[in-house]
Amino acid sequence: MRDSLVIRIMLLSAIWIGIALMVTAWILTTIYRDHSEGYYDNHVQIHLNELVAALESGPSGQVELSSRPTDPNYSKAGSGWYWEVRHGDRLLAASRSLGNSRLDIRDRDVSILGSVLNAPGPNLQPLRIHAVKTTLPGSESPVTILASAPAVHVAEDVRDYGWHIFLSFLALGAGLALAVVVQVRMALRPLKNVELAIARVREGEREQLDGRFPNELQRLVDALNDLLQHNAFLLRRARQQVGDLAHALKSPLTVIKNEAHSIPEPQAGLIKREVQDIAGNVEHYLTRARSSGNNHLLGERTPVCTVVDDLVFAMRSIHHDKAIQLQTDCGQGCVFGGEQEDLEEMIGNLLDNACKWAAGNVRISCRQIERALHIRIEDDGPGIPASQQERALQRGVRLESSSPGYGLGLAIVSELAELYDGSLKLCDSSHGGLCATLILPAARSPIQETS
Amino acid sequence: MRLLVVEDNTELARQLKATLEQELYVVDLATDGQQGFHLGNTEPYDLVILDLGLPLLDGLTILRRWRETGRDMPVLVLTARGTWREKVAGLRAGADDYLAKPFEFEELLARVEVLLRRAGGSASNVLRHGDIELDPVGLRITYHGRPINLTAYEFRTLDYLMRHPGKVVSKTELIEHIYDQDFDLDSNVIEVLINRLRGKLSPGCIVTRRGLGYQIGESDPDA
Repeated sequence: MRDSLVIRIMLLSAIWIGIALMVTAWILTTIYRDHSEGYYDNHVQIHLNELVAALESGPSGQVELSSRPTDPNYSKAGSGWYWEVRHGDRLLAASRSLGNSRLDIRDRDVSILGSVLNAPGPNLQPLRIHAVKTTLPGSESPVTILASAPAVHVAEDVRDYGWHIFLSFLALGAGLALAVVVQVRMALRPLKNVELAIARVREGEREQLDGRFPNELQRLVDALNDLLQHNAFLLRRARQQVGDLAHALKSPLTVIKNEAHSIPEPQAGLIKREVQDIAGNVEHYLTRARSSGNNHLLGERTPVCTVVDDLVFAMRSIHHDKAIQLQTDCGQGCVFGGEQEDLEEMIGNLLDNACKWAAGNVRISCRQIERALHIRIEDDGPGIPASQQERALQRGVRLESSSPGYGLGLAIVSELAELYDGSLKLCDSSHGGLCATLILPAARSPIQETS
Repeated sequence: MRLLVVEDNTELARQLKATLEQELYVVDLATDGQQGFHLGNTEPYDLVILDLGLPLLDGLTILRRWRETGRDMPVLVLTARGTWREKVAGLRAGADDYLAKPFEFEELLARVEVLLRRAGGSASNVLRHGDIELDPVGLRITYHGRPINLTAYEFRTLDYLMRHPGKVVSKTELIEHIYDQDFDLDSNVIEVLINRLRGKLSPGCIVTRRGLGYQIGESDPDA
């Protein structure tokens, strides 16, 4: 079984409730037993006193009983309600219930002040026997008076009582357990809210866990928020440094590349090729470093439309001279589940290529099909022959070296798409040119509050 | 044509200046953001090559400030990061074109020429007036189809006048656009240059507007 707070709390409560109820039941039963015994003792004591009061000494010194207890129990044979009066060894009188049997109590076990004895009676019936010894005036030997009640009465009473206690405590225990379940659920509900808030961060809807939580949880939430903030800071700094590195490398590379013009061939060509390689590698690894930093860590949400709008603006400035008709058709609901900068790079490179090669028309459209975005960019330029389309996506391959763009750009787009478990596909456009389709993960739909 | 290069890598700045001067552009150099902003804000440049990552004042801020104060010369932005975000930001801030490092100088020169032509309102590669043809990329001048040899300053003077056809260009303006910032304004050298050009081409090719300046081609009647 999985470790669960709810089960832990409920198990502990059940054990405690069980122990507490058992102890209480034991105490209550004991008190009741005492009470019950006291009730019968009292009863028997009254009859004993009655018998003592009925003792009379005759003129010749003999002892007589002037009256007998009238309780009908004393007439029923084997009832356990017995009395017996002895004078010395001689039986003076006994209850009818006793028949020919005698109570097996020796005189010396009986005190003058009265004794309570538990002893078996006839047929080994357990009895509670009250006894007293007294000496009447004018008589030599003491008179012993015994009266008994069946001990089974007390036991029966206690058993009945115990049964009631058991049933009512069972109900009480069930009620308490139910209360614990309700309490635990209510007390742990804020945990559910924390879970929801974390899910929101993971899906990229929020940057921090927000909402008010109970004090104990608030500390945890604050600590989590600090951690998130720290993470974001590290990410920003890493990006900044990556950018700085790019800046630091690329200016000297430009210098070297152009200084090579003053060197005779073939050295110049070699230097230029190597510099091109370095530049390609710098670009490749910087892109990877930038993208993999936060990819799959926190859910980002980037609306496709705003990115497309920005880039279309840029294309209109850059390809100012070509008077290209840029047609955009992006569904308002298209949200990319990743970094804005990565989407900008992918769409930017594809659009730039399309504008470079287009005769006059470029189309960009975005559709969401299930969990994937299909971003399609088409131009009416010369296109890429089907046989070379696959090669165009390989890193460092430049199909048309006289015009920059196709090749390096496409490879970077393809690589970025793969970082998001997406892909870039090339095919022939119905407009005559190239049709590039980016397949990327869509952002998950906003988390619904589950009440 | 007078250009400003704002680039903090001194070696790259030196190379840019040398390459551009080979193409007979007049080049001023700034190696930090503040100096660059100040020069661009006070001197009448025909084009600025602006690096975005600069010490003291970053390129985007400089560009925005220039555009806010109405400086509308073409600006070619050099980006090291080369991300589309930076390109879009540059273009939104008012850049006319961008070039990502590392770039080929031929590419840079081509972009510069396109921007200068676009600013002059011409779409052709070659500037033409009457029988005079000037190719600013190939640095060739022909008169009646016959090649003419000009000195660097003669070329710059003719280049500037031909890029502003019909406009009366004052001596001061000419000096500002064909010499760099250290030139002494009191010199008579412009008159000498104009006379030499008239000698090599034809006496009537450059008209003197007395007290105002010089002009190639007729005034635009709408102007």
